Amino acid sequence: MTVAVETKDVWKTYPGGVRAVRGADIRIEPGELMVLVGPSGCGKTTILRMIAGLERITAGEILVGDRVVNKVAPSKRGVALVFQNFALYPHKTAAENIAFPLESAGVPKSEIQPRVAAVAEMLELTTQLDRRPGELSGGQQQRVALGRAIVRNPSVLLLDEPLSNLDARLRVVMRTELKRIQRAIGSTAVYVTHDQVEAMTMGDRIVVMNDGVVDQIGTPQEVYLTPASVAVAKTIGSPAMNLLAGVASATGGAVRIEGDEWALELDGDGGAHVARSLEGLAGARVVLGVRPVDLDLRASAAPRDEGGPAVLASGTCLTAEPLGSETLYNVTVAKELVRVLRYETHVGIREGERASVALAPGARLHVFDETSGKRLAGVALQADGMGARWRPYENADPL
Amino acid sequence: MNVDYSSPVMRLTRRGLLYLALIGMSAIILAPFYIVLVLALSRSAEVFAWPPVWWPAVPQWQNFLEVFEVTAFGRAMWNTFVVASISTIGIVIIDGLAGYAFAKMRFPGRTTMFMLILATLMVPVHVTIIPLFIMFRSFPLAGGNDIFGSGGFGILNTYPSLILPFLATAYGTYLMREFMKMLPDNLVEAARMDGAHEFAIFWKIYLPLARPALAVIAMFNFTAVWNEFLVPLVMTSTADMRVIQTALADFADQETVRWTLLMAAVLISLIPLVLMFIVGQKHLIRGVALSGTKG
Amino acid sequence: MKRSPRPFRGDWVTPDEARWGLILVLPVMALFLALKIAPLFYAGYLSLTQYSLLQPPRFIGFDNYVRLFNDTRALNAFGVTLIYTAGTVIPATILSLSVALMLNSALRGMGFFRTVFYMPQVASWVAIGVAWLYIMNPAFGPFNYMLAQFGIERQGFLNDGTQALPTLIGIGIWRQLGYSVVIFLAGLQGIPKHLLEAAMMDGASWWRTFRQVILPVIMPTTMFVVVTAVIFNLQVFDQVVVLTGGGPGRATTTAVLFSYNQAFVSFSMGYAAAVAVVLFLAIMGLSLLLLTWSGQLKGRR
Repeated sequence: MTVAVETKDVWKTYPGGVRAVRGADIRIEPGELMVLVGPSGCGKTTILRMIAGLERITAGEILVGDRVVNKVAPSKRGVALVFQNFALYPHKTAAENIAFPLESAGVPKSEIQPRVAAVAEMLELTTQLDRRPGELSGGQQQRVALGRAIVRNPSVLLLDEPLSNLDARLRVVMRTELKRIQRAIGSTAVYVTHDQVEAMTMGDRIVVMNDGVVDQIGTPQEVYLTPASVAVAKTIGSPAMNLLAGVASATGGAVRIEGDEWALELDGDGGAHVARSLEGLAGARVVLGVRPVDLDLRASAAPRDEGGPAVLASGTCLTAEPLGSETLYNVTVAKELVRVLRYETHVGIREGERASVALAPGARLHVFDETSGKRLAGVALQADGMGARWRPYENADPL
Repeated sequence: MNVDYSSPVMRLTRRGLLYLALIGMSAIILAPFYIVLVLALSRSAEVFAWPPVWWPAVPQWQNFLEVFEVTAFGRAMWNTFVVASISTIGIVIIDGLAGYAFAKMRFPGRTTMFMLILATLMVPVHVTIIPLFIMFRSFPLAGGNDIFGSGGFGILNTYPSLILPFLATAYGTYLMREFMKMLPDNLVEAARMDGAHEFAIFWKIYLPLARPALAVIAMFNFTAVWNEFLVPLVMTSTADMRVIQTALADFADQETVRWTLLMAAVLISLIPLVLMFIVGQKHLIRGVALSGTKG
Repeated sequence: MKRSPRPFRGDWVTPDEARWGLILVLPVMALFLALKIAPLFYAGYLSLTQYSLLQPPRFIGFDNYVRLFNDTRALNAFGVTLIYTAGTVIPATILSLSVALMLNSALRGMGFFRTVFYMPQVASWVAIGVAWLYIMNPAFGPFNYMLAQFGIERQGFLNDGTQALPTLIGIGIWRQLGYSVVIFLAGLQGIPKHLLEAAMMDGASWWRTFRQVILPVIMPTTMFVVVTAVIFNLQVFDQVVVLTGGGPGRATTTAVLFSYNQAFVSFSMGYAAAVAVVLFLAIMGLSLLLLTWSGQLKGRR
């Protein structure tokens, strides 16, 4: 088996014309935990439900383990689904819930009991088996739902926002737990969530979706470090990446990007790299993306040209939010709000003071095409013996 | 609770008047039931007493036995019980299936078909009773009929003629659908994932969950059939096919009405319904209310 | 940009779902076709024939309808039906709304009173009719005894040509109450508590609260009560048979009773069907009229 699940140019149009999924191509490797992430309504749940067989496929093909399953009944696809609100049968006990798929498949009674017991043991449910869902806590219900899904040994486990009905503390515990169970049973998992922290922490790879389209597929590192589009940049990372619209102009080997009360000069290898990517871009309207951790804040009453290439803009510190180990500063630059995340608590800027927003050493910049939202180039501020220099960077390798 | 700023005296007076009005109206509502009870326990002479008796001098409990000895009321009760039970079982099965399908399944023509059923809510019994009478009368190969349905009385004066007219109730289908809609949707999907057959989803998951709703519909229907007068009046002709309501009406229609026995019979006919009502009243009233707020 | 394929027709997930959906509704559909829809059309056909059960139906066009509108007995029956309906529905609706408002004031024992008011609904018209037959008996009925205590002389009630219909109406109101009260109570539960509290904080009088807070919310409930009561009462039959048999004379012969007598006493099936069809159309027309009227009221607000 070369692939566990594959969607080939899959479309979903609902009667009434809503196009929920537009040409999704996703390959999921065996044993992998693939997370589909995106804002609500982006089509991620629809894809999951199409893989499950609960939603008809308008066009394209879905394969589960080399077999086209478009017309295969949900239970015959070798997949199991854990529902967002668990969808446990309220009138059946935990044991009966877990046993139900086996009963439906006509597994002999003598075989059902030990299999339910084995699953219950793995999920630490053994003492709860005689209770009905109404008598179980949220976490226990979640385990029963998981048990019902894995008792048939599915080759693919589908999880539809399984943690969203749990409280915050339990969610963190179950994150690890789910991953442990998935590794233990060795099945492929497709996991839908809108929570990028879940996506980053759980996924072997991540599919980022927006507006029915797959924007990027990659490891958590890849989607974080080299977001393929503005939309991906917005979805992944917290606090969210700063995205500033500006106009780029190339002069010689260097590029100058200028926006509303901010400007940036990119020279060296990095500048040339960006200049090449701008070729053929009409109007040169770009969006500059920079993560809050890649920015620094300096106290300054002085104008911005004083600070050299690493200074982006100056603005007014609106709020300083202590998050414990770090502090999040919101700085107004013209009409934009720029977020700066610093680990040092002694930056010394107070709310209401003027400050310069600078690029931190090692900062990564992302240049996107404003019209299409696509990534054009990435550069990193790299320190060497002669000071800081802009270098191209286009993969998630460590600098 | 609402906050009442008026003085305690005003409040007490208002409460008192409210209770007085309610108790007065309750007395008017209950008076006929009380009179039935009194007469059922009276001697014949007490029926015509002037002033009327408040309570029989010696309660005549044997009146209840005499009803069955003097008249064919026992037979009528049996007939009613058979007809009401069979039609109720039929309705619960049929409406359970359809209510579930209309609420939870997707299939061609479901909206049109449901609308059609709803539209028949507007078709009163009195329009269909004459055609049904003729249709039942010319039912082929039954009751002396030939294959073309002529020559005899068809299925008139039989249990089927009393049961069939009740099996198509838009109300039951509608109510069942409303109840099914209140059950969670994704159990269908969960069961499909678990490999349950489409019918097993209904049978093993939703039917057990819909048991209270089925009980309500069963109670509604049992009461309606038990109390039905027009259908048995039209469909039956012989004494052995009398049901309770036609038997009572016959009883009351005689030259010399035996009031004590008549009231005893009325009381007996009320007992199963009142018991059922008291046991199931919470569910029943919720059912009535549901039809009103959703309708 | 990739092409956008057209969606499938139908929204079922598997052919199995569509197939079983149809199978599950099959019994209901078959029964409705055989026992409701076919008879309805058959009634329409019968009304255009002359049919005495002895010979096959003879097609006579609209003669039955022409006859109906020239038949004083038929017109009288429709008149009686309308008077009975109006006389029952209007007072019963007002009365039951008042009772529901009283019960809704969250007094102790509300459940008990609700049960009491619903009791007449549980009993059949025949059982109730028999009880009232005794109560209103001119010779020995307790009602005349009660009147005598106030110095009022014996009344004929159901045996009196002018009193029979009003007596029937009174009994009709008595029975209608329970059903309407239960539905009004459900409607009143739908009034958000904060609205009532706001009205109270404003110091609104009881009448203003009723007019501006309660009435708008329960208007749909009221319409439901009125429409169902109208549909139900236009078909008045059981109680008339038990209490008066349509008499004295024709004083209480209602449309359904008239149709019944034509069909099963005179064996004029065609004419009886025509009467039933006219009543059916009247019921439909009146309900539609009430529904549009209430819709207009809502639109104006």
